[in-house]
Parts: sequence; structure tokens; C-alpha cells
Amino acid sequence: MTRYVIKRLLLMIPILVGAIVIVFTINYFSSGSPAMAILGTSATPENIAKVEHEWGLDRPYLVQLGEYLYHVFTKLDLGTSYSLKRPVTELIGERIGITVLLGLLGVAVAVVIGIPLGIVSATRQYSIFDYVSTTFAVILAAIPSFWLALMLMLLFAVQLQWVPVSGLDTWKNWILPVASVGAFPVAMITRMTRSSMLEVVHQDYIRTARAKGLGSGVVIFRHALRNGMIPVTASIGLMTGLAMTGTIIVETIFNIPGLGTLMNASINKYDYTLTQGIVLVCAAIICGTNFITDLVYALIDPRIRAQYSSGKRPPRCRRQESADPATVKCTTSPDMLANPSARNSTTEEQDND
Amino acid sequence: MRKSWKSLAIVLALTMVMAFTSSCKNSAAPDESAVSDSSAQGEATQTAQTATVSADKTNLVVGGFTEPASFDPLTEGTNSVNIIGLCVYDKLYTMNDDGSLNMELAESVEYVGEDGMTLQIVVKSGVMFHNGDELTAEDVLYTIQRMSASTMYASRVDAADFDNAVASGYTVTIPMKYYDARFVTNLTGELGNIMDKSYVEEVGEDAAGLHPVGTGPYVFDTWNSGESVILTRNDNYWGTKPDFETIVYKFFTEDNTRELEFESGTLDLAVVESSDNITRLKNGEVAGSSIYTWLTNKQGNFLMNTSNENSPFCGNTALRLAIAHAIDINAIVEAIGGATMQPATSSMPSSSAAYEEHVYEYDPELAKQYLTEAGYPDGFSFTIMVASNQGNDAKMAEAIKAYLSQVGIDMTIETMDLFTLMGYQMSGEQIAGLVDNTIRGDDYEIFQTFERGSGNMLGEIGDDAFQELLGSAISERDEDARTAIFQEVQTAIYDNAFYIPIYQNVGAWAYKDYVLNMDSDAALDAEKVVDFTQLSFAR
Repeated sequence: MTRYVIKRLLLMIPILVGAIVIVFTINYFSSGSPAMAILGTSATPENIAKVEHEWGLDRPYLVQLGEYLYHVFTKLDLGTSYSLKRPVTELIGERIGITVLLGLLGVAVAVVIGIPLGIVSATRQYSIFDYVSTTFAVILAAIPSFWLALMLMLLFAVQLQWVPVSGLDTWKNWILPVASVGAFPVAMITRMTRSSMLEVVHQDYIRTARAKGLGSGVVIFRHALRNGMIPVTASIGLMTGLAMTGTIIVETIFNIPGLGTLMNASINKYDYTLTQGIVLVCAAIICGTNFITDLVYALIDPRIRAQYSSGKRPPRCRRQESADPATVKCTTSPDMLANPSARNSTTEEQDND
Repeated sequence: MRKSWKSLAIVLALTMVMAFTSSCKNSAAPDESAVSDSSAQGEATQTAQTATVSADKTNLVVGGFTEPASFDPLTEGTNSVNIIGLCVYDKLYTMNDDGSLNMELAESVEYVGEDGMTLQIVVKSGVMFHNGDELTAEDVLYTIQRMSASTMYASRVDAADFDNAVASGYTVTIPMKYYDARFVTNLTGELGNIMDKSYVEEVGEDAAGLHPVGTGPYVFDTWNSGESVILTRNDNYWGTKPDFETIVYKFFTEDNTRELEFESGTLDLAVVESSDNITRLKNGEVAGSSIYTWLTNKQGNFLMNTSNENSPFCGNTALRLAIAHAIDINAIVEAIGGATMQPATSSMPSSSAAYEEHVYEYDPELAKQYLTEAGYPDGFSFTIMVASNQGNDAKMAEAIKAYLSQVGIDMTIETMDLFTLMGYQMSGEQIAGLVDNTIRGDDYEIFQTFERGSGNMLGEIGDDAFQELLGSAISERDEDARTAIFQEVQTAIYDNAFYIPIYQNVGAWAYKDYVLNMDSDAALDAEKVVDFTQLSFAR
């Protein structure tokens, strides 16, 4: 397991370097100059050249890139913002907490709403509840976040006046932004939970549990949910990273001083160093959440844990012909079956959704 | 049975969507029939009832513009810097509507000496900065001299011989290398905000920009990054004390968010930037609120390159006149700008003392005659470059293209971001474009883009007689004679169609009915700035 953690951590380095190189290169070769943004529309070519020299922007591409990478990886120095004239790490540090909290709360709300909805939908397939929750999930997935944010604002803040319109003065200010950020994850988690649970509840071991006379609650929560949550956990992890890094629009609409509004301002002001810094931090957040997801995945899925405990590759699924053409049966390899920790590894993919 | 459930689910889903849509319509949809209102200048649209606030409400909460990087007056003019500057700083003097000076920190300003080439400024004694330092001549000289080190503003003080300038007690004397009529009037803008020399030198320019110290009616208290600035009343202010104990200036990037915040009642005053929101407020759709609109000094122009020999517009007056008469400016401005702009009626804004009306008639037949005269009887093609992220420029170019195509002119539109476009402007490769200009000090500023050496090769007008005329507006000492020169400049621009003025921007601020004095005394011509120190509450 330790080997796995180290391997995953090391893999993050080339990903972050790649993100830096891509963003730096795009910024460098785009035709506008940050000096123009600093000086404004009344800038003259002489003034632009002077400012570019002062900021070292007239040096060759590789020199600038190399220096930037060196500072990032040896001193955790993301440079100085051209427009705000302050260290990028300081600016990001002031705002990252709000963005991360907003993303986490959005996903937390999504988990609290989405998982129960998905479970009930799966256990009561084709019921009115199933139709309503599925429709609800489809609508939430289809609504653009900026539109939803404005509609929520109009309804709950302006017309009903239950919550404030914008800012972050009280806890009530968080309600609408969190709802806007959490809307898409709610939809995804609901659908993922439903399809995953449907897959599990039709498996033999669930039938066996029912046949043994176990109560419905015990069957669902003790036996089905544990296996059904494995793919849901993976998607929650991915969505946590995306929610934390994808709040630009929501933050702008609700006037929230987070990384999103900072990113928006930095792009408008051609502040390359600030944009690069924020992108790098976003990439790190995505890498971090993916890393945590992988660890959690390994903890809850005995097959993954077994793979890394033994240092062997995961067992491959062997397809078996089934009497029903819509049903494909998979079984693990014999060595996996021999491993007691790999019980419940037989899965059945059924097109229930 | 299943089908009926499905139908029910679909009906439920549609009901949800309709509920959201109707809530949107009820509260935010503008009255499209009233998008344009030609009587927008200096006009307050008020509801009938008189509103008051309780005596203990002493703080003004403002929905403002975007957050600046710094409140240093030398930061490129953003509205937030100007607005906060009006509260925190004082100027030596401001300009009256007739062009005369209204003294503030200065006792007198005059050119002295036998040759009249030395500017002497005497400042009031006993005026204190917020940190307890007394205002002296050294602070005034320091403020003016700072501009000479700025890449953006050095040209404004180029005439001054700072090596021989003297600051003694309350008197500053600055010898001039040459006479520049703009020197004194340029200090009426935000660049004339007087800074505390010892404070800036002690903490550094960057830190002083983050926490400005001035002599103004409000003390800069707190800057909550990304959220707001809080100002508290300067109880030791030398002039008339303002009404509000504190001002909370909140930063907004989204006009709709700001407008909804205003509508929910948490803001007393808010800038309004979109046409739809201006129209809603004008139509009285927001209860207990009013809107004040006025024409600002910002103008948008259609520029044709007259200095690059490869440009078809260079040396071809008839061709430029053809363009001028082929465009229906009124229709374009109404369709694109709505309530946020008015058609320009001259190359100078209507609030300028030298303003004279010069309007091109929309006449496609006349445009075709000019085209023939210009040597293009069958029309011609050219490319306009516009910024995709600069207001309504891209939409406006589309509308202009449609009109030009009716007289046989094929205009191709190339869109790019503003700073890429600036590169083309500087190199002179840009043949046509849309550029806006604003007056923040001297009236000459509206023509600065068009003078030789401005750095904007699209704007530079390649006509020696015109450049000479512009130059005379800088060196003329007599105000009346200067006004006459500006009028000549306007006539020359109109006759030769050096460029085509398209629109003049409308400033708009929404305010609750209990906010008093929201009129031309509080609204500044430049940009969309309001002086909060002029306002009070009805209690």
C-alpha cells in the first residue's frame, strides 16, 4: 500500500509540470502583452518595451519557463502578480479557503441528497418516486449553473427574501452558492447511485440474503450499499475536485471573493503569473482529490486493496456467455477467488438502467 | 400504468421549469418597448412617495464597480479609484461647468513672472492629512512630480521644469519649459488628488495605494479584499462635513447581481450598467427606487486610418465622407446601446464648453455619390479590427457592416482581444476600428488619440493643417480663444470626416428614494462617477 501511495504521489509531479508548461506556453505565445494591460490603452510602444524589460518579459521563452519552474518547485514561489503587484501565493492563500469550502459544501449537500435519492430510486424502480427523482436529476444536470444561480437568487433572495443576494457576510449567504455548486453533483450522484444499486440488488448474494429472511433494510444497507457505493465513491472524488475548481461562474454571480473571481480578474487583466498560479493550484487540487479518491477506493474495495497488498495486477474479468443476450456475466480469475479477501468479487452487469 | 406515471413526471418537470421561468419574468424582465429613452441626460426618474430613513441609519451602502488593484491615483483610471479618491483625497481645485476653477486646497493658482512661465500655487494652511500630518507645498509638488516618473502620465507634466521647482511653506513655484494649457486643468481629475509625501515615502508607493491617506472628508478604514472598502467620516475635515458616518463601498463584477442586491434593499445606491436594468428602473419597476442618468464625457468613435499610405482612407476625404453618410448612427446606437448610450452629435461631448453640434445625415444616395467621387463607383472592401472583450464593439461593428453593405462597401470584421488589437493599432496595420475616448481633466484629452506621436497609429490624423490646429489648442493661453480653436477642430473633423463620432456614454445610478441630492452636483461628467460626499439621507 505504501508503494502504491508513493507511486501515486510521484505521478503527480509530471502532471503538475505538464499543466505549468501548457499554461505558460499558451500565455507566452498569445499576442497580447501584460505590459499593455499594466499600462492601459494609452500605452506607447516605448513604455511597453520599458515595462516588459522591467518585468523580464523580453527574455527568451525557455529562460522564463525554466526560471518559473525552478521557483515553483524549489521555493513554492508562484511569482508576483503584474496587476496587483503582490505575491501570487499570498493572493491565492487569501481566497483558496472560500473556494475549497464552497466546493466541499456543494459536494456534501450533493452526497446527502443524491445518495438517498439514488437508493430509493433503485429499490423502488419504476415507481413514481423513481420517475420524479430521475427527472429531477436530469433537469439539474441540464441546467447551466449561471442560469440556476440567477434563478435561485431571484426567487429566494429577491422575491421571498429568505436569504441575502450576494457576498459572504453570514451563514445564510452560503445557501444559494452551495445550492448552485451542488446542483450538478446532486444529479450525477443520484444517477450513479441508482444505476450502481440496481446492478447490485439484482446479484445472487442479495437474492441469497433475502432468501435467508433478512429484512429489507439490512439487505440494502449492510449488503447492497457497501458494494454499490464503490463506483459512487469514485465519482464523488472526481466531482469534489471539479466542484472546488469550477466555481468561477458561481463566485462571479454571487460576488464571492474566491479563487474563481480572482481567476476571472486575472484573465481580464492579462495577469499571466496570477492565471498560471491559479491554474497550477487547481491542477494540484484535482490531483489531490484524485489521489484521496484512489486511497479511499482502495480502502473500501477489497479487490484493489488485495492487488496492492500482493503487488500483483488486478484480476481481469473473463466474459462468459449467458442465456440472456442482454446479460453478460463476469467472474474473477481463480487466484482471486482463492483469496478470502476477494469475496463478493463476482459481478453481474445487468442493463437495468 | 407506467406510461401514466411517465406522463405525470414529465408534467411535473415542465411545471418546475415554468415556475422558474415565471419568477424570472416577474422580477427581471425588462419592458422592451422602452429600451431607448432620448431624454436620458441629467435626469432623475423618481417615484411619487417621499421616503425617509430612521435617524440612526448613518451608513451609506453602495453597490460599486469592480475592485481595483490599488487606490493610488496614478493607477490607470478605474471608476472605483476615482470614486474612493473623491472621498479620501482633496484636489487643489475642481472645474466649474463654464471651465473656471473652483478652489479647494489651493488658495490661488496663477502663472507669474515676466514671461508668465512660472506656475505658482498657494495652498491653504492648517489642513491636516488623516494621519495627522499637515498639508504643505512639499506634498503638492511631490504629487505633481510623481507623474513624471509614471510611464502612463509623464507626458502630462512634460512642460514642467522640476529641477528648478521650489516648495516653500505653503507656496509651490514650478517653472515651465514651454506653456501647456492642459497643465493646470489636468489636475482637476484624479491625478490632482493630493498625497502625503512623508507617508508615501515612509510606507512605499505600493502600500500607500493599498491604504490611501489624504485630506478628504472620509478616512480610508478597511479594505476587505474581493468584497468592499469601508470609509469613516473625517471629523476633523477642514471643509463641509458630509452626512454619512460610514460608507461601505461593495465591489461587483456582475451588473445583474448588483441590481438584484439593490432591489432586495441592502444597497442604498448602485451603479447600473446594463440597458435592461436602466430601463426597468426608469419604468419604475423597482419600488421605492429612482435612477439618475446623465451623459458622460466618454465617446465612442469609428476610426479610419489616415496616416498609413496603404489605407484606402489615407488622403481620400470623399471615401471617409461616404462611410459617414452610409451609417445610420441613431439606429445603430439605439439598437446596440439601448439606454446605456446616446448618439454622438459632435467630436466633443455635449458637456464641453466648446461643444458645437455636427451631425452626419444618414443618406445612402449621398454616400454613393461620395463613393464615386472617391474613385470607387462599384464599392470597395476593407477590414475593421475590433476587440471582442470591449463593451459592445463587436456588435456595433456588425451593425455598421450591415449599413455599409447597402451602399456597396464590404467591411470584413476581425475580432480579437483588446491587447492584441493594441499591437495592431501601434504598428499602424489597423485600417479601421472603434475607439473610445474620455475627458478626465482638460478638454483636449478627447483629441489626444488623434495627435501626432500619440502612439495610436490608427488614430493619428495624417493631416498637417489639422495637427497644427490641435497644437494651437495646447499653447493658447486665452480661454475664449482656446474655445474657438476647439470649435475649429470640431468643424475640421466633421468636414474631413477624419473619424466618425458614434456614441456618448450614459452614466446611470439607482438610488433609494430616501437618498437626497442625487443630481448634477453629485454626478461627474467623466465616466460614471458619483461624489458620495454630496449626498444625504431624508430622515
